Order: sequence, then structure tokens, then C-alpha cells
Amino acid sequence: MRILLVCPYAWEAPGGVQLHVRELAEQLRIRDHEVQVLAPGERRPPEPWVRIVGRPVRIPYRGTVAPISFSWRSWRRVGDAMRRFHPDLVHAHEPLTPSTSMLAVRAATAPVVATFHAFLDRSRLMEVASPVLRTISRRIDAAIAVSDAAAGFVRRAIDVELEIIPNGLDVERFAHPGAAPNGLPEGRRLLWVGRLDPQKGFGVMLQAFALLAREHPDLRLVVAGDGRDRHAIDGVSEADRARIVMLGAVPHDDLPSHHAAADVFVAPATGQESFGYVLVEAMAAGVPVVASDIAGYREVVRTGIEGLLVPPGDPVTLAEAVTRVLSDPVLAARLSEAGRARAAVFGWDHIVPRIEAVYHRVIETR
Amino acid sequence: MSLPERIGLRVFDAFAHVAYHALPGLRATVAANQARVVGLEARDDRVRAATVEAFELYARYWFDTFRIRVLPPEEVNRRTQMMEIEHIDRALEGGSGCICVLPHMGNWDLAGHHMAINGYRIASVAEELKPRRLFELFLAHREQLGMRIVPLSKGAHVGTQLAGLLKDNWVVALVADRDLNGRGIEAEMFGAPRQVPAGPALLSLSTGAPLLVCPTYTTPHGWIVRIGKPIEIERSGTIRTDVATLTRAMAAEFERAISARPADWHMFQPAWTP
Repeated sequence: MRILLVCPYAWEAPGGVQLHVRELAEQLRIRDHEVQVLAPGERRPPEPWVRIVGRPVRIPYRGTVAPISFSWRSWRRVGDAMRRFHPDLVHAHEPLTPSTSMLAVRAATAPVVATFHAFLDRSRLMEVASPVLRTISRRIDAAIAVSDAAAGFVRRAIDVELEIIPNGLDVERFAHPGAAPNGLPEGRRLLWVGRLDPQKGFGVMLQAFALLAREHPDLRLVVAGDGRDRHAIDGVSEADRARIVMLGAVPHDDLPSHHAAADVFVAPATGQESFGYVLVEAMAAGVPVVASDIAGYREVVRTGIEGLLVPPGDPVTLAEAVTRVLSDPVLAARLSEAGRARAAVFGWDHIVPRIEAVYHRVIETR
Repeated sequence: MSLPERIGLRVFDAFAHVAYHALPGLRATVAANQARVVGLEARDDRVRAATVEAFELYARYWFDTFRIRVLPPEEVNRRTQMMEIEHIDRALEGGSGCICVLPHMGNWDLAGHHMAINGYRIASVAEELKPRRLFELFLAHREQLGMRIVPLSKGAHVGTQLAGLLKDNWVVALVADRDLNGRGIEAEMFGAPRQVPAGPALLSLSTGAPLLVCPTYTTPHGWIVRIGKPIEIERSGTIRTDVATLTRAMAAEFERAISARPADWHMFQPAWTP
């Protein structure tokens, strides 16, 4: 099958959608599909099967920055690419974001499958002019949502056949991470992975760590990620600061080794997370998870079984849950084991056949 | 006292009496709070007198809070009796800042202003109000009084901002007798349980900044600010217990502060859920 995958965000920028498209493309290629990816980008990508269409513009949105591209030039290039590759099927990611995917859906003559990643609320929806929305949604033959939360949004926005298929993950890479990185401090370690944006709860994390630091003199916090909330660290006392390792943005390939060195994975996001990518990675690596009790995370972790979920924005309960895991090896082992089993469900081996089934259904009914 | 000031006071006093008579619901709420504090029936004459006085003192608060902006600093100092400020000086020697908490009583704006004009670096928080314009006016007002104001907005985590100020040895002042986020600790005040905010205790325990209860009182021609000693608690080893213990100790100090002058407690909403 000739499949055109379309990514709305700059190819070289870090992000869950890009990661998903890259891995999906690799997985489909292994399974003998012909795959091309269209994405905005600043430079030529290393993968020969990726075509860059248009330079990204960085649009700030809700504390994060979306590197999207929506210009006359990218419009033309998307059309060109479409004619040259002549796909049997177009699989557009986030087609309601005004970027490459939206352009590709407009230009497509082949059947269109759309995947919705983000959980967006109505206000975002209103930003997209509704006539445009209707035109786009009429072109979509089947829709995939990565989570219940994302599905809820899609159902309100457009009326198409919808299936929930979570993001696939290279479980194996996290399950067998190799050696822990050098230079990490001794002692037990909490691991944070994710952008340092306000909705990720970094402030809550630091406050909880200040409380935990007194109780557990050997405890360290390892922070993989960067963002505008990095300044929150300035409020931490000198003594606690010495026990926090700020790694900055870590390449995704290097993450598993940090998981291998972690005792507890902490994700105190305060809301608006559509899917707990970072949780599945930690679970695949067998690290016990303590995370916020929010919609996107509940779909991945059942509290008390694969991890502990705590109310968002509450550093005391967060610190208590971490203490429970640290001081109860039986609980930690149980969470770790259940987490590994749960993570396997999100492995590509489970996910790709489900996506292929959607492709086949769409082509047959067209 | 200048003539405009005398007239202004009379006008605000008249407002207080009009409000007392025109707003029976509010009157009943205040009376219920006062009755609980003094331990009498709400219909008791002494409670009624306290309720009238509470309306008068609350009007005084609003008059004063704008008035102090235009009072010369030496006049503010002359009218303010600052008691035991050395507790703050000693706390700041520790280098971790200090947290001053008080119930909604007397005039906390005056207390902050007094400290600011006498060289203390003092910060507080403000709940975000709608409309935005009104909120900005309030921010501007408090900042003109010399305080740094951290908005309690949804996105920002206010705890880390306050922690940063404390680390720089600022005084953080918080009015802390109303639980805004529903995550308060149940504490007994005047014989009945109510929710008391856990934020100040949490901030104190996570930053190491001492927690001082600093009530303020209205006097006929000025104000009294009494700085309390740092609250000491016995650490239990569990965070939740420590936060609860410190919050309850703070509530007990509040109780003492309010009993000294119940009518000066500007509690114009039900302080205890029935």
C-alpha cells in the first residue's frame, strides 16, 4: 500500500506527534508498505522518505510552542508531493491544526484517515473558523483518536467514524535500556521527563521534592526536559538544589538509560494531557509511576495497580505517594511488574495491525 | 486629622450603618460569626452591638486602605503602633525569609505598607478577579503601597514564586483565614471545626521559612500591628501530619488574635458551614 503520512509540526522539533509519525512510518515500512512523510522543517531530514514542505513558524499556544507551517508555498508543495507520490491513502495527523496536515487533507484525492492526538477544548476549536472545519471534516473517511480524552473532542468537532487506538511505543527499547549514564549522583533517584511548561506541574514537583528531601536524605531528582518553567528552580533552597540534576532536553534515544537509573517516575501534570506517553515509557522500563489523576493518565495507569495516581496540584499527596513507593519494596516491585505488562499493550506489535485494519476498511468502502 | 479625612470617615461610617440596615442577609452572617466568637446567642444585645461595630470597622478598613496611599510616611509611622517587630528581624537573620500570616482583621494593607516604607521587602498574593480591569486596579493599588504582589492565577504555580522570594530573604505576608482552593485542613476555631488554608504551613515546611502570626487591629486614630513569635511544632516524620499540625497551631493563634477584638474580624461570609 502507498501511504502518505502527514505531520503538522516541524520534523526536527521534539514532540509526541513527530515521534509517533516517525515510528509509525518505520513500522509500516518494516511491514512492506511504501511510505512517505510530509512535514514542515528547517533542514533536510536524515530519513530519505521524509519530504519537507514549508518552513515552520513558531506559534505560542497555551504555554507551549507549536512549530507549524501554513503558507502559500507549503500549500503548493503539499499538492506537488501528493501528485508525485500518488498515495493509495493519506494519513493526516492533527488535521484541525492549521498546518501541513490540514493542507494535505484539502489536497487529497485518495481516502483520508486522520489521527487526533491532542485533547483540545472548545476555545481552541473556536479559533478554527467553522466553515474550514466542516470542509476538512467532510474529507476525512475515518478518524483515530489516541485516547478517550482526544475522542471526546473529536466527537464534538466532527461527525466521522472514530476508533480509539493509543500511541504505539517502542517498548523493547525501554525494556532493555543498556547501561545507566555516567555521572549521575549516588542515592535513590526520582525521574522527571517532559517539557518544563506550567501545565506539566514542575512547580508542584519542586515543592514536593522540598518536602521529600527532608524525609529521605539520599533522594535525588533528575529532570529531563526544558521549558520556560525552568526558572522555578530558582526558588529551591541551596541544599535542595544540590540534589537536583537538570539535564535539559534529552534526545529521545538517550531516555531509556535514565529510566534504568530511576527509582520512581513522577508526572504531576495539572491537566490537558491527552495521553500518558511518558508514563508508558516509564512502565515499559519497569519504573514505578506516581502521576496526576487526570483523564489522559487514567487511560494508561489504574491507580494502585500499575502506579499511584494523586490529585493534580497537591504536593503533599504527591510527596506521600512517592514515600509510599520508596519505603515499600513489595509495592514498588508489584507496580513495576504490572507496569511492564500494561506497557506491552502499547507496543507497536499490538498497535500497527489495528491501524492497518482502519486503512483496509477505508479503502474497501471507498 | 484634616477636615477631608474627618468628612470621609463620617461618610464611610454612614455607609456602614446603611449597609447594616439594608442588608439583612449579610447582617445575619456577620452576627452568626460574632456570636460564635463571643459564645453568645446571635440575638443577644451584645452580639448586635458587636455586629454594628464590625460593619463600622469594615467600612473603616476600606476608607483607610485608600487613605494610607496619600498619607506621608511619617504620619503612617506616627499612627501605627508596631509591636515586637524584632521577631521579623530575628527571623530574617536566618536567611530563609519569613512568612507572616493573619486573619482578615484590622488592616493588613496598612501593615504591609508600614513595613515597606520602613525598609522591609514584603510580598503578598492576590486572588485573580474578574473583570480583569478591576484586578489590575487592585494590583496597582497594593503595589503602590510598596508590596510585591504575586497573582494567584490558574496557570502559574504560586508556591515556587513565593519560595523564590523567601530564598531571597523577603517577608511573605498572607491573609490566611479563608480556604480558597478547597484543600484546607480542618481545625477547630471557637469550638467548631472549619477549613483553614494549608498553603502557609506547606510553604513554611517546604522552604524552611518560619511562620509568624501577625494580627493587626484598628484604633480610633490608627492601627496596632503585633508581630508574633515563630510557631514551633514537633516534627512527626510524616509531611501530612506536620502540615496539619502547623496549620492547626496557626488557627489557634488566629483564635487568640480574633478573641482580642472580635468586631475587628472582617469576616463577611459564613466562617463556619452550618
